[in-house]
Amino acid sequence: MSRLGYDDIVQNLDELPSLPAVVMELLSCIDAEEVDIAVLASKVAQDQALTAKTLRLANSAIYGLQVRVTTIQQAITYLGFQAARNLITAAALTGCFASNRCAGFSHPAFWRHSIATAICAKELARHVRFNQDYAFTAGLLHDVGRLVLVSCFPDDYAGAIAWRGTHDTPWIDAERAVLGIDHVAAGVALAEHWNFSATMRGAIEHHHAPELQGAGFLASVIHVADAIAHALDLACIADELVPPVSAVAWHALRLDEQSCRRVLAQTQTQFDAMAPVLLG
Amino acid sequence: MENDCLPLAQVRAGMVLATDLRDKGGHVLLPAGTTLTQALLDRLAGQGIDTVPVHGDARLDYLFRRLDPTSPDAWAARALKDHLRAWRAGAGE
Repeated sequence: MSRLGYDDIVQNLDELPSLPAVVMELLSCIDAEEVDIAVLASKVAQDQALTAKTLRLANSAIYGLQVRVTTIQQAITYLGFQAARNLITAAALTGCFASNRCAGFSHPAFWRHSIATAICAKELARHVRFNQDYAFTAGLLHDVGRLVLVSCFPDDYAGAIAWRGTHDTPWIDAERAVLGIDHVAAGVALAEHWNFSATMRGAIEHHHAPELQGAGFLASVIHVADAIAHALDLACIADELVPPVSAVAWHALRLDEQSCRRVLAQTQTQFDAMAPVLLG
Repeated sequence: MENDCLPLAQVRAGMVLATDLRDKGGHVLLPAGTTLTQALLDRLAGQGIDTVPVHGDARLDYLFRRLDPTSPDAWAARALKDHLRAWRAGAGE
């Protein structure tokens, strides 16, 4: 089995499907104060599938809207720009990378976990009054490096999946053992390739090591959201496994029994509403 | 307490069936309430059974199976597990 390095990843990034222009725009303006909503709405509206998914989500029970929204502009008006942007980003990203050339890799299971982590990260961010928008997007993208590895090196990744089946470890250990590189490094390479903000890149880079100096608070949010998503068993994989939980990150989120139960319940409820629409 | 579906390889003797265990043709192999023994588990493996519905916290224990009690961080995962168990138990109230 070949041992891959960071350069092997970078050289293969151009072969990945590029993100839809509208998603790149959403991701790049995540820290922008002034965003022209009319321009964004018209761009999303040009993509019928994306529009349809976004509207179905906006009209789902979790938002409890009194009216039925029928345009992206209406969705933004009624939900608010942040919530609408989260929906559009999720709807667009889950439609990417659909092809599957890697034995044993389940795209639906991958996205179920990513959606669950995104929702949980948003709820954790609400609890600690952190930027919920950042948290949602970082949660959705935290494992994107796995998609890079699966797309660029499907045969090698199938080997890592088989190794994990035998050794019963978290994904990152199987990747390191078989590929010589992990989804964190691949995710960082992609984050640079796609010009993600430093905050987003840091969260991807440190979500397995949030206690490191300089990891940033968002990495702690994503780390705990990732663990909760695994623990809630939402990906529906038989050999699901909760990875190690960093005590530093857990402590930073100040979860007592009541707040933790609220996060668990909200994550489960919103996941049940969103996942069928996004993956249907 | 909710029922858990465990992969057969993770089911241990002593666990209790939460619902009837049926083969692919729908025939009941073992009724709900059966306490599984190693002999029964060995036989199920030959009958094409992949997953087994068992009672209680078995799935939760399975999900947290890599929790290292000697790690200084173990309390965090244990806290998550305890909150999850409490939430699941209270969800139906």
